[in-house]
Amino acid sequence: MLNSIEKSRKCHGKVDCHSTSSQSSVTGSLPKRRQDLLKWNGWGYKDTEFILNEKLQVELTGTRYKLSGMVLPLLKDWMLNNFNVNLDYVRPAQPEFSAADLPSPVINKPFLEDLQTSGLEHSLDCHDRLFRAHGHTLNEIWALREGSFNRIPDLVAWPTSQVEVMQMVQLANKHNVVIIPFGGGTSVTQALECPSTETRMIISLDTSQMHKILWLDEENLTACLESGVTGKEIEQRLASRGFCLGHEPDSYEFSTLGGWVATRASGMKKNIYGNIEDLVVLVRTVTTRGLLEKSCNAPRTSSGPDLHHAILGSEGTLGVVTEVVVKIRPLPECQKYGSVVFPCFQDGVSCLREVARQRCAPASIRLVDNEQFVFGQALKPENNSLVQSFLDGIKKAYLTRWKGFDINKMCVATLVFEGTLKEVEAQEKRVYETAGKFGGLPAGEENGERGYFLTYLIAYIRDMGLQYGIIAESFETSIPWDRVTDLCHNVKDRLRRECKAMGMQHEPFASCRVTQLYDAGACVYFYFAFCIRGLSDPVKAYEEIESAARDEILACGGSISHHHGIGKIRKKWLKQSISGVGVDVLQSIKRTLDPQNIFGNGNLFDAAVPISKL
Amino acid sequence: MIRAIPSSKFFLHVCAKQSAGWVLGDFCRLVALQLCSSGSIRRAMSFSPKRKGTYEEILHHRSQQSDVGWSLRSYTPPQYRYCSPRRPIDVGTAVLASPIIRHTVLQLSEEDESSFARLEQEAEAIVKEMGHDLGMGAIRLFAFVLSKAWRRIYKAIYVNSEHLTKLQGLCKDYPVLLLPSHRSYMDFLLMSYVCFAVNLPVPVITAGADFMSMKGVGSLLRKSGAFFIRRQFGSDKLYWAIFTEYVQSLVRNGDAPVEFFLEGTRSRAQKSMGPKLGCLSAALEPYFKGEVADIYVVPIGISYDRLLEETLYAYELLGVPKPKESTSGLLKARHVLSGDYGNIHVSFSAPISVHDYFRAGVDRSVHATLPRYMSSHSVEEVACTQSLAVDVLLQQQKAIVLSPWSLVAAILLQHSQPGGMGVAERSQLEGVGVAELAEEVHWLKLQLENFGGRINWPGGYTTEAILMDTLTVHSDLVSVSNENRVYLKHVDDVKSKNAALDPVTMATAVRHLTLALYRNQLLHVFQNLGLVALVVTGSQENEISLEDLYKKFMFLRNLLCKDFIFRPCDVEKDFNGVLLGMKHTNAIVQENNHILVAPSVNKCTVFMSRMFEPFLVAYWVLCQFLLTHNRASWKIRDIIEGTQGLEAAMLNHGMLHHYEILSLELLSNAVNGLIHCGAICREKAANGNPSLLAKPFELSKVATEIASMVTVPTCDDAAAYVKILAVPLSAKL
Repeated sequence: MLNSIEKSRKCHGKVDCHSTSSQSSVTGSLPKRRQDLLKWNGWGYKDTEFILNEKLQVELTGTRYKLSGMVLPLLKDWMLNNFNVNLDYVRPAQPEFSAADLPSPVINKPFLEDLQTSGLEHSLDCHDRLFRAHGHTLNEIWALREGSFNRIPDLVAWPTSQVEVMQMVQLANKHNVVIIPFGGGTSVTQALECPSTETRMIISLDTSQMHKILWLDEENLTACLESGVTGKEIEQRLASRGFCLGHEPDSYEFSTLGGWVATRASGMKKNIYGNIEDLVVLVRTVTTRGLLEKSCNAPRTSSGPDLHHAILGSEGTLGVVTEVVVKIRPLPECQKYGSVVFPCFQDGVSCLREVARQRCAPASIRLVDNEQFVFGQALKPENNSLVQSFLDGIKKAYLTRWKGFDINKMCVATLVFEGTLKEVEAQEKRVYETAGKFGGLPAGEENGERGYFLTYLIAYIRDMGLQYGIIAESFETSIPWDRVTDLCHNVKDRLRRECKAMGMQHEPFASCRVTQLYDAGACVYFYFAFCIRGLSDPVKAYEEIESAARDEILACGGSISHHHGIGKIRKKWLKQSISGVGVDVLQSIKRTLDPQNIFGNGNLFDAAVPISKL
Repeated sequence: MIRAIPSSKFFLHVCAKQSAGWVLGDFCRLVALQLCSSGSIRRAMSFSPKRKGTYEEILHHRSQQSDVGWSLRSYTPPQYRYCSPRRPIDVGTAVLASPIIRHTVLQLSEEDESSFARLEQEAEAIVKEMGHDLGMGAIRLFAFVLSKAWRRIYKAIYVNSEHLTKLQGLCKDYPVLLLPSHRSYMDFLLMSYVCFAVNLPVPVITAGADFMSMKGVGSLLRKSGAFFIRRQFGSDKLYWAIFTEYVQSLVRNGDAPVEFFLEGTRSRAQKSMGPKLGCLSAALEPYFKGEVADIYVVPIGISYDRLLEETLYAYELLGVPKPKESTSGLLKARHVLSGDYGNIHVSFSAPISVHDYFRAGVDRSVHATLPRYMSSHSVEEVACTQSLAVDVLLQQQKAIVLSPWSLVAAILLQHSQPGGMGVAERSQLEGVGVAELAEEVHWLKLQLENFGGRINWPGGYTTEAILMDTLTVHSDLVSVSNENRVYLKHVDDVKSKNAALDPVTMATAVRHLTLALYRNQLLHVFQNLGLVALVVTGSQENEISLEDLYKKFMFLRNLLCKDFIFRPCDVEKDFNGVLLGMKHTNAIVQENNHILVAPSVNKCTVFMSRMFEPFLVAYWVLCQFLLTHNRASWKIRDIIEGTQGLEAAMLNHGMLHHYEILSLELLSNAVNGLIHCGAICREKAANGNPSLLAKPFELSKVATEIASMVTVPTCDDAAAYVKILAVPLSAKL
């Protein structure tokens, strides 16, 4: 804690000693042995999963979520109808790996000796190592459930402060040992995968024990946080002081601030709070050449190219993000969900475009397509109230009979409003009015809320799908407004036809939603799932299809990624996306900051090996 | 950008104007015929069963027998899944409101300071002139009237069903382009009729603007889905923008399949013409720009046992103005229209996915950094479009079902005698025995099938029966005497605009050309074979090395590239393929890497080389004409008319005997082929007009090469006639 006060010396802001001391007793939400709390081979908490109960109905176990303990009677049928699966066909996950199943660690003895002398906390335990060998990309989860790993980290280290990170990096640099920074472990780009060709010792640097709020400055509305703190933790602790950060990616329960910076993350409520690049005021990064940081917490500077942007999106290839000064906001007085149904997807997109043109977007506005709308309906919990189901019937009848909505075309926009009561009211009025011009009808809070729930639960649902031979993944892009609808249509079409070309008998589930609005375009997020029965190599099939879909995205004028990043799965498109000169620029930054390729996770591009090494 | 319509083929425009008038006449006749219909509906069931392999008959064999019931039946074709339904008039409105038109108008108003409002008016007028007005009313009316009329003159309309189910499904998922071959003005109505009959969405059709101005007909055609494009709009940017946007709007929204004719105009000579890329590249742009996931292109081959326009085409090809409409003409025409026109075959090829076709060759993401309204095709896109166009034409040819009459025509035109009297002449004077003809027809049919042609050959009948059937259909051209001899009928003397052409020559030419039309229909099957045969039969050596053969083959492909459709990149593949085929049928004999000439000069190669001989002869005369007339620069019209005159003189003097070489289309192709070979070069004259420059050295090389393969008059003789002709010709020119 002294350390933190020392750091804050540089700042103009007041140090709130009470706050920091009160936080010091809090342990991070992620324990060192994560596998005690989280699934070793799937998404999220151990106690939470979708199961088929004895009545053959889908039920969510645990107590953590609103739907926990509830039965979702429609979900099973939705699955059966959409994937042509058979409940008799199950693909259970393999039992937990034993030490013998995993590659034996590569040990750099002098390094290990130095590490032990230094007293930095670390582990050679095989399950600790395995947990940090992967993110949540489909092939990684598949390897956990049905496959194996060629290469996993050889050692896990838990530094507790920036100083300890600096020690670690120096040691690694001295002994030519690879460091792969590890935050929440929620990457979906194979960014955490150890390069299989790496012969040096690989250290997974787990930031989870750096989870303190170092200071909070109410005057300037900034806070200095350590990078290993998870989103949920940040919000909980800030809320207790009456503040919030407002950065809520779908993974925010587990993903960490450092990871957000390293991948240029985007939060659901960016319309109010901004994306990660808008939220950071100052980033400290430990590199092999020392600490990279700015000299003040000023809101904006003109001092040559912004070096924050070299770090934002660097995906762990340049150093370890240790501390970040972020903007914070007072907690909103009111938060409200909402939803609007549209006759068709194109109408919804036109409405969102208009909302963006008027710049009147609420905290979050997402447009889900018909497939996802139907999927969302399948997540309705068991309804014991006759009145409720009667009302639902009337609503549906009103929409389809009276308003002429086609149940196979309609789609829904989900909304989150935040602000003072008055602001929220005004926002609601404006948004619903605009929606009305495009045939949109308000469809209640519940539909909206369910939409957001879906995104937190989707990865749990994926795990259940895998059980029954359905593999699913998501990918995203950003694109100018005039191409949004075409992109959605084309990519979904491409997914369907690639599946057909692979000989799949049943159409895949291909669905998308427009999740972020910008002045010049939007972010589009795709869900894609299919039944793997009859495929000899489902993961390879999936990867080929996703690759084709990315080609289609680029052909339609979309970007390589909006917020997931490049990792390893999208490396092949980087040059096309940022030009050869662009790659050279990144190479030269890499060469300067990390000539030995200590941060050798191999993300973004293959680091040019220094000539002396050849 | 690629221009839709070239300006050089002057004679096509002449023809277009002529035909436009005739359409009206013939159309009225059709309707009149219907109204005063008293004749009985003839059905030759034996030759035209309901099903024939994958082909189904749609004219006589319907579940619903009454025409009224059939044309008013419930018709629910598949619709494109992302189509937002709109009225035809809304298409125009959408076009005018589109970013590209707004941008073009703005740009033009800045460029030449013409007023914004005037340009907008102009745009509106263009859209109005262009717009289709597709409605089911007109379609049902046509369905009714055409059923009545066609049933009187056609034995059957066959449509192949193998790709129809797939196509119906595709119409739901993707925009579709229907690309039929174009050899009769019936194609347009026929396609819509067939779509209606087989439950495909009725297409909107790109039509030449010459049909538009005709009272009544124009609007009726609009109502059945036609939209009109001017034949020439040169550098009119506004027109170009509106035209492309109109097509693209239809493709993007998938209102209906878009139908157009790749060849740009009817192929009067009945063989495929080089593709015009304007419409196709405009229609494909939505795919290149990622506005649609894919576009499916459907090549369709349409063939008629007997053309409604057969003599008309012969006249047009010769450049003869049509005789005036008269009562006697009408009566005669009535007679024609109540005749027997045999069968129609409409063959849908497998739909081609543009996405799959372009997958390797095109990177669509190059359009990502420009606003969408800015029209641009990358070099790769232009090249791929060109290649697709050629492939579509080849697929059309492959799909076309030939009539046995094509074989008969090819044979009647063949076997020239040393004295210059072909079977055509013989058959006019002394006739050909049916049995002899049947034998020849049978032989040619075997060759055709061996080299991949498709022919309408009903099973279970003797060749003679089939021959007699087809002779009946073509009783306007041939007659069969009681002694079972086939005679060609006499043609009245014909007057030509070209003073060099006397009426008797013209009459013979009309007779030859009418036959040539039908023979041309089967040439594509033998086009590579024919070229090899020309080289082999023309050889003076004992053997030819494959290398030399290949070189000469290449030379002929280059020279004839405008007369036949070749894929330039497939030269080697085609060469090897045809050699293999010829070896397997014993048409050539190969030893090591040499072709032995003596055993390779046989019935097959001689027949085939003679079939292609007229083309080379025409090219040769054209070369001679240019070589003997020393002029700094030429207009294409002068070259063609001059050559035609020279040909006529040579024909009259018995130096040549292929009357079909008088065809203007052939000569126009010859000029363009020679341009392609570098023997004529395009340049701009001092006044800025395009003109042509003859290159004597290259021309004489080509002429010599041709003379080494086919029989042509000796150069001295030719020069003498050129001299005789030189005076009146140059006076005229």
